[in-house]
Amino acid sequence: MDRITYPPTPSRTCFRFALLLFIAVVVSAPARAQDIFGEANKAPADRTRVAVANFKPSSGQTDAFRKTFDDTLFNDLSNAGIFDMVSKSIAPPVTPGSPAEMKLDQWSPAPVSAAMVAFGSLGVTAGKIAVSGYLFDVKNTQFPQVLVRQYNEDATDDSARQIAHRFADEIISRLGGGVSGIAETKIYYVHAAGGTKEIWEMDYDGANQHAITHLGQISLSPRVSPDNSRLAFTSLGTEGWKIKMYSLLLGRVVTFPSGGNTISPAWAPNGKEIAYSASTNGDYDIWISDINGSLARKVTNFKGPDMSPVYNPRTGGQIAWISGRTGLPQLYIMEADGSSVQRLTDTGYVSAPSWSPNGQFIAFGWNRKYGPGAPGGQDIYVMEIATKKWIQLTHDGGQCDFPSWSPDGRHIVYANSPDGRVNHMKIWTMLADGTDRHPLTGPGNDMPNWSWK
Amino acid sequence: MPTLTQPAPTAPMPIRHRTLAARENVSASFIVALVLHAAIIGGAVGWALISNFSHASWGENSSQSGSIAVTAVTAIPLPPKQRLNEDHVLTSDSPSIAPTPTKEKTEPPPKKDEVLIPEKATKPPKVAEKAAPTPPKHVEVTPPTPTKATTGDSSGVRIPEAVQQVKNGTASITVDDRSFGQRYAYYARIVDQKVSESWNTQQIFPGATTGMHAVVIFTINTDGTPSDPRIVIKSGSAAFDILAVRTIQRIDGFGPLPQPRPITVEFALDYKQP
Repeated sequence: MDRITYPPTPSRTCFRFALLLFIAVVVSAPARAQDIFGEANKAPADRTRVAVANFKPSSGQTDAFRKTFDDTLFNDLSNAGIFDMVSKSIAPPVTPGSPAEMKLDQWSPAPVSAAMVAFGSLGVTAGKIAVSGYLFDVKNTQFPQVLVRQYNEDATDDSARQIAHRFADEIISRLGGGVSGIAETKIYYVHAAGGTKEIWEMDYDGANQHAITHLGQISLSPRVSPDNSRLAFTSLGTEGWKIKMYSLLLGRVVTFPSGGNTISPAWAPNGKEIAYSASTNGDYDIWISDINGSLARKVTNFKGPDMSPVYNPRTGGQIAWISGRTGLPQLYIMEADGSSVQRLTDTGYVSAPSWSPNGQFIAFGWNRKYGPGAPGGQDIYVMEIATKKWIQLTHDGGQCDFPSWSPDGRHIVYANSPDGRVNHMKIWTMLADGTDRHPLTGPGNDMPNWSWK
Repeated sequence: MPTLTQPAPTAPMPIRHRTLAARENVSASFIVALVLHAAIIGGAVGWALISNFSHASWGENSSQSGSIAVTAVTAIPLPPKQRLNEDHVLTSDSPSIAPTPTKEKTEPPPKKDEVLIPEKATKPPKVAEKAAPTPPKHVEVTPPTPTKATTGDSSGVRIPEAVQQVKNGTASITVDDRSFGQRYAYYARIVDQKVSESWNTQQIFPGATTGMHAVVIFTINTDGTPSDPRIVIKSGSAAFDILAVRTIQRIDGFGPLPQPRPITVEFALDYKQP
């Protein structure tokens, strides 16, 4: 069928141009919307499919340890966020203990279809756990072996868990392109009980929760040093808010002199400097000192509070912080010497920035429509600094605050209170794209900080 | 001081002397009023009847009438009529008359003196079986015997090659060391995946055209860091070449190499406009 064509008349051309202009405006508006992560941070299309066989008992009474070990290893690999795990219910019911017992053709066909399989043996001899762990490439029948590890530790439930963490980290590092796993990292947080708030520590998966400080005071915002040797936090004493320094090696508070009220410490990635917020006359500014509190210098000088500094962990050369110089608190970045100040957010109420380990993103708590009766609540957002585009990670889950990146940059831990009440705060973890959320602690825990390694 | 609303009291009126005459007057004037009212109503009704016969009515669909003929459906800015019954999708304003169900006719039972004659079963006609055509024989091509003596060298073999379909175009990786690719296939997969992730298609400039092809060679050191990326096949566009090199430079590392020797990797980018 022939299409009727009209010769372009001036008015028709004019109309077409206007139509094109209109379409261009309409189409470009959503393009500017916040949807960058689809491309810039796109997940690999095919995650490696990994199966884990239950470990074979080799000698001694191993039942309790094997259960701990198998569960921990499977959970660590699932939590890594880069694997497609083969459910244990469809895995073949075999426990190969050595490469000789491994039959790859049991693991390759559907529904298992594993690309990698981890297996090994666990035995207890003379009060020691001996673990041999293997990782095999199922598709490479000629040279299947990828990883072999042997561990020998005291026979306790905790060491069985630690061995599983270390083996999982080896697998994650090997298959994750050199980014080491987080199974051995810790999370420091504030635990409220009996009118006091102490600093506690737990494993990355919420296990092994225990107290670090016993000061009988209100202690907030723990920040662990990059070498895991010290813990800086804010404590309310007779002189008001003061930053305190706790040595994890000595197990006691060490001196950290500072003038005025000092809050919200932040470690430089080289572990030699601390940025914090200090005030002598009620106006908080960002200061930087060395880790013993000397050589303190002021880097911001504006009317209005400046708080919650955080270093760029990749370079150590920039600081992101929260400033209320224009009214409600907003997110800013600057060079560590105080130059080239840039404002990143323009509306709402921003709190608690955390810079991603690769330096590309900042996660923060943000109440975008702040005020009485305003829609929405405080949620976790991630902003790409280069483009200033952001995405929202949590939705409709109540008040979310205090995000903290994991050292591999794949996870974010944060505090969430479904009804906004402080004593209902729980610590949650999620993948950095906002998926796979689950709580790590019960209520009464707040302000998590993920260790650097 | 007297006001206008409260007039000053006057002398009482002589009511008794006028009572009889007033009654007669009232009945007479009441009749007159009734007649007048009836006349007015009758006149109005009569006028209406007479005028209705002689004038065209509003909205009359005729060429002589003064009003404009309109179709009410398109002129009235109202939503279309709702269905009468929301539960029934097929209800309408003017339901069609349902067809009356026809009674199924039952065959009358056979009479006692009738005999049932079975129908003749017809056999399907026999067809001679045809032999399936034999497929043409595949002629196996024997590769020419190598004239060179075989050595440990294996140049020109590009194995394994992994091709990753990325958002626009393809990025393929070739590890030059053949034995490496066989032994550590999982590492080749990681390299392929990381390079594909690193190829930031958002940076591709507007002038890029489909079919642009560039090949970059780089070395992976034993600690897994890529180094010395360089263009070996240029795409013809300097910007595209720089983009290909940047793709490698952006990568921090692939993880420690499983063997103690560095490897050389070839990375081919084919651009396809999305």
